[in-house]
Amino acid sequence: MFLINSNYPNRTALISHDGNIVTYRKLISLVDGFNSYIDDKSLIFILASNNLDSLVCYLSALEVGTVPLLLHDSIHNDQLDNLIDIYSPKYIFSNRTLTNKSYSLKTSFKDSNLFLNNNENSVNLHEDLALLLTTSGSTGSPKLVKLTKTNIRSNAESISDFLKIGPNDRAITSLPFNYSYGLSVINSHLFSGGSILLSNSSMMEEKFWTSINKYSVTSIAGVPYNYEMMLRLGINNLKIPTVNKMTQAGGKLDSQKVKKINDSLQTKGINFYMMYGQTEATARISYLPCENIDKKPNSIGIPIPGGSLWLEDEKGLKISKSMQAGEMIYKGLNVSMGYAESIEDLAIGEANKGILRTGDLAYFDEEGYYFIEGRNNRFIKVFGNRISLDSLEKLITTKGFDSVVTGVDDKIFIYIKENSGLSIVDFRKEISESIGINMIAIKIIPQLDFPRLDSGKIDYKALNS
Amino acid sequence: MTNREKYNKAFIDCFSVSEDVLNEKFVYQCIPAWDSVGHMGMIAAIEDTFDIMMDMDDIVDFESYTVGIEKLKNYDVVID
Repeated sequence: MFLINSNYPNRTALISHDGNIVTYRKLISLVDGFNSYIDDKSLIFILASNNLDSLVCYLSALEVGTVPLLLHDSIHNDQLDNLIDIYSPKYIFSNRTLTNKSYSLKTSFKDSNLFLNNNENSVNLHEDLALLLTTSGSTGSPKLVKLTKTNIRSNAESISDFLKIGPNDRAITSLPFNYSYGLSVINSHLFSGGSILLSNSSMMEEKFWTSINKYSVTSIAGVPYNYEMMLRLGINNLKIPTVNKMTQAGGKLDSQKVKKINDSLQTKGINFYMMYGQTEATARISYLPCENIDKKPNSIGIPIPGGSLWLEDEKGLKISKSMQAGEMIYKGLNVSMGYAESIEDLAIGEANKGILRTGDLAYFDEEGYYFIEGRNNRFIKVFGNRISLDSLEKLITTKGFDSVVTGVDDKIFIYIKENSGLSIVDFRKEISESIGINMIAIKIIPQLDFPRLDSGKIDYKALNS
Repeated sequence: MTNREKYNKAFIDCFSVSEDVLNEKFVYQCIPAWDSVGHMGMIAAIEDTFDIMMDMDDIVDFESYTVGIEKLKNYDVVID
């Protein structure tokens, strides 16, 4: 079966949140059973959470050749309806009731339901297309990343290789299923014959930590904000004796915190891996080998096995000298086919030829370790989610307000014209809910007018100062 | 400001709620803003307000407005 390791049928593949053990043999039979519910060459939206239902549906879709779009199960109805309008999937799999009248219940599977589109439905999908992920997941942009089975398998294989994941590893799902990093943890463990504790608890809940000990979890993944949480909880006091590996991706941790975390984890015998990646590369692009964390805490490390990185200057020429900044380019089997913004785009084949322009400006040192200096594009990472500041401005325009949006990681600044007649408190709440980002990260700043450059463009630098 | 006012202000600022919802029914995940990220922000605000450092057990057990009042007693902060 695609992706799933077949060497250990009697070993545990999954542990559900209530402690039920699912062996690899059982998992394969569940997926086989689900296969009969869905036809091939169609689209399915999976409103996923970290549970057995979502995982079986996902694996079955990949096996049958039905293309899943993974979405968060708490996705806003407006955003879901927008995606349904654009892509009109044949199926929707969800643990909630659907308000959309075009769908009716086909069957139930454990605690979830499979809904079928009432209308005659056919879609032209490229034969290599296997999976769709959202690019930011939050601003409601319908821009999707198109992934192939080769992408998924090669990234899972590479991750298993450099993180040395094997049958004795057990990860807890500390990140959302539909998030490329969260998904990569699941894929790499199923690929290697390891196991997964399915949990929807957060690090701020006691249950998260007790279940790690109860089920002997060995590996935890986190975005920078998760590590902030561990620091806040007191990382030295965490008692997690079975854990031997912790990974970090989804944004940059500052080097002082890196040192503090690494020192603390080392005393516990936990290897700490910092990684870099993008959904456009399925998940991972580079990693920092543990032994170099102290020496190079700011580095994103070296390319993952099977991948390569290089830099190009403004003229598109390859940079061969160390310490010179240029745009970082990645090549590997995990680079996506391209984007989809409409249903027609799903029929289009390979657009990237395995090469991804990351949009990040970087340099490398004498030992070939890469360091990111900045970004070409107006993107920030908020709690591990990539947010396009331009898309957010557009979203606010659709709500009828003139705004300028800037930000740094984990902070969004929304400058809005004064006298717009809105309540800052309500507006902040509304934005937070529509992009699914906690309002703690959002600051609304009333402005009399926006500073502009001579060209008439917004002067972002003047706004920030 | 009394301790009660300070305590309430932390919730009001973090979660954009009005004072009248702050009672025993105001619990973790009762509103979208009080998720794990919001929880951490609220704990940070309370630690700053009362100049304390809370233990892990108290942070993860801090599951409602009223439970929080009990937890703060461990740091000699009394909310009347």
